[in-house]
Amino acid sequence: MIAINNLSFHYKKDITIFDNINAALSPGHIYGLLGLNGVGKTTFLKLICGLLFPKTGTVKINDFTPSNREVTFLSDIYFVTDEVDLPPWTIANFLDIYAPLYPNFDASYFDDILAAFQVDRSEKIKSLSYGQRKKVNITFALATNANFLLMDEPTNGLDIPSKTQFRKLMARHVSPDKTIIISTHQIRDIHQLIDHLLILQDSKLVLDESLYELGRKLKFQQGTYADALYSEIGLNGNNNIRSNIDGEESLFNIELFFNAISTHPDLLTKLANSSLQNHE
Amino acid sequence: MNKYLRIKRLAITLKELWISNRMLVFSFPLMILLCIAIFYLWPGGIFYEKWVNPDTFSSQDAWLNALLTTHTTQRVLILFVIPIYLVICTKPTLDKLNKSERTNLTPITRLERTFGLTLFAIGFTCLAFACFILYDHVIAAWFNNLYYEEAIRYLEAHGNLYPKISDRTALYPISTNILGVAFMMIILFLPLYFLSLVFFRKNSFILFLGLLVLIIITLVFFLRWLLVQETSSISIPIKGFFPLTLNILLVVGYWYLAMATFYHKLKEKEI
Repeated sequence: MIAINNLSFHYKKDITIFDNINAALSPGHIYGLLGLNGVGKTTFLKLICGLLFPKTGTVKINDFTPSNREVTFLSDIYFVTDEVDLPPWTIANFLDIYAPLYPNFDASYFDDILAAFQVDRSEKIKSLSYGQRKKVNITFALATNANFLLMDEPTNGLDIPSKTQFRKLMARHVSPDKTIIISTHQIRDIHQLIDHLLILQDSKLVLDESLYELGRKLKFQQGTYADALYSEIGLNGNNNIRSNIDGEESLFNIELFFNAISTHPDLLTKLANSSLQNHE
Repeated sequence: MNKYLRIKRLAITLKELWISNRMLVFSFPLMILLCIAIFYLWPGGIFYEKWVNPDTFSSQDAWLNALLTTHTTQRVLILFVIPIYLVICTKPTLDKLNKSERTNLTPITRLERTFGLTLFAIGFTCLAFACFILYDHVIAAWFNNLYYEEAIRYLEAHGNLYPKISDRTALYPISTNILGVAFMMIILFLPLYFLSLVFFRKNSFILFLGLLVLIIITLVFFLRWLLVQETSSISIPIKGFFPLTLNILLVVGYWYLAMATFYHKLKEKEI
């Protein structure tokens, strides 16, 4: 369980990055962390893993305070960064050195994933392309079997078959004891994986809700609707977000939903109101 | 947990440094040999003149006179290749500790990192000294074999009944005292170098250098001021166990404090 209480953070005193954020992220889910450029997605992930320290408030992961950087905690968390900074050794050397640091590391799982990504174990990391290095990092991250997996733009630089492979691997990897947070702008790459949305906007975590709950409140339809909460012109007519009064099921369009929230922040208030009405 | 040291993780830290630097470590004996060759064969030096330009010495006596009067202890300066090597070997690791998310999230404590870096640096320095001492002794023995008898005969021929050759000539290896001072200088430089790279968030090396200069200037001014204020003083030179112990304690204290500051700076570093 990741418990974030009254978290505030800034790099410079006059520029607030986070202001009083609260969240409780439970295991067994893949969280999609969304937000505009510069809103603090990477900073949020860094605060969770203890690379940055909160200015006020707390972050707790199970019983650990990430900023203490205890070894037991560090061996149960892995952060896949956008920039890959692996050492220039062979993959085999990399594995020999770092795998023993993770008690749940599965070497055969590592080999299987690497094979699925079509990367040769005997290669030198420095001779690999950006995408291949990213694959090695993702492979290592999954093989650690860490219960907390944070990923910042994991599909950046991956070729199309690898993106498919990545989705398959992630879907297989998630389990009731694992918490996975994926921060990305390329939402279509991981659309089917995410089951919970976190949206950062204006120094706040403006949305922390499961797709299931959101799907109960909203439906996505094409056409022209006077009662649409948000509309966007698409190739096949208007794409709309409407209140799901009749409980109709529709495919949740994360991209459209994010665009709606970014351009019409009041949509969240409407959503909250509709939620209250539903409860009444 | 962060303050505990585990041998397995310490070994991994050392392995990390070894894999990254093994080629550099292997190249060190060659580098020292090259430096020694350059030292002895530098144009204008007696060995350069003897071997490359033999006409410089009009006679064998002139050569022996030059050999016995030229001091070659400056070759100890070759040992200052060691700190350069240490910087080249450890700077990438220190930079990663400053910037890399992966390095800082690797399950290794900052204490293990500090110990790992220190052990690697001290281990490398010891090996490098051993390598230099070995070369120095072999070369001194070779020169002895070539010129010692002749030098003694030369001195006796010049009326020296109890001939003694200065240990500062090429016929003798560098003395243990000089080597000891050089070793201490390198070891004392270590924590300052480590600290200089992590002390400030940005441009740490330059800012730390500035801070050191400021501290030194302040100290010099303060000591000068103390000296000016002193109107009458009795100077009592104290020698013996206690002053020596105090000196050792001061040096050990400085080293420990600098290393402890380095460790705490690492621990508090935000990436």
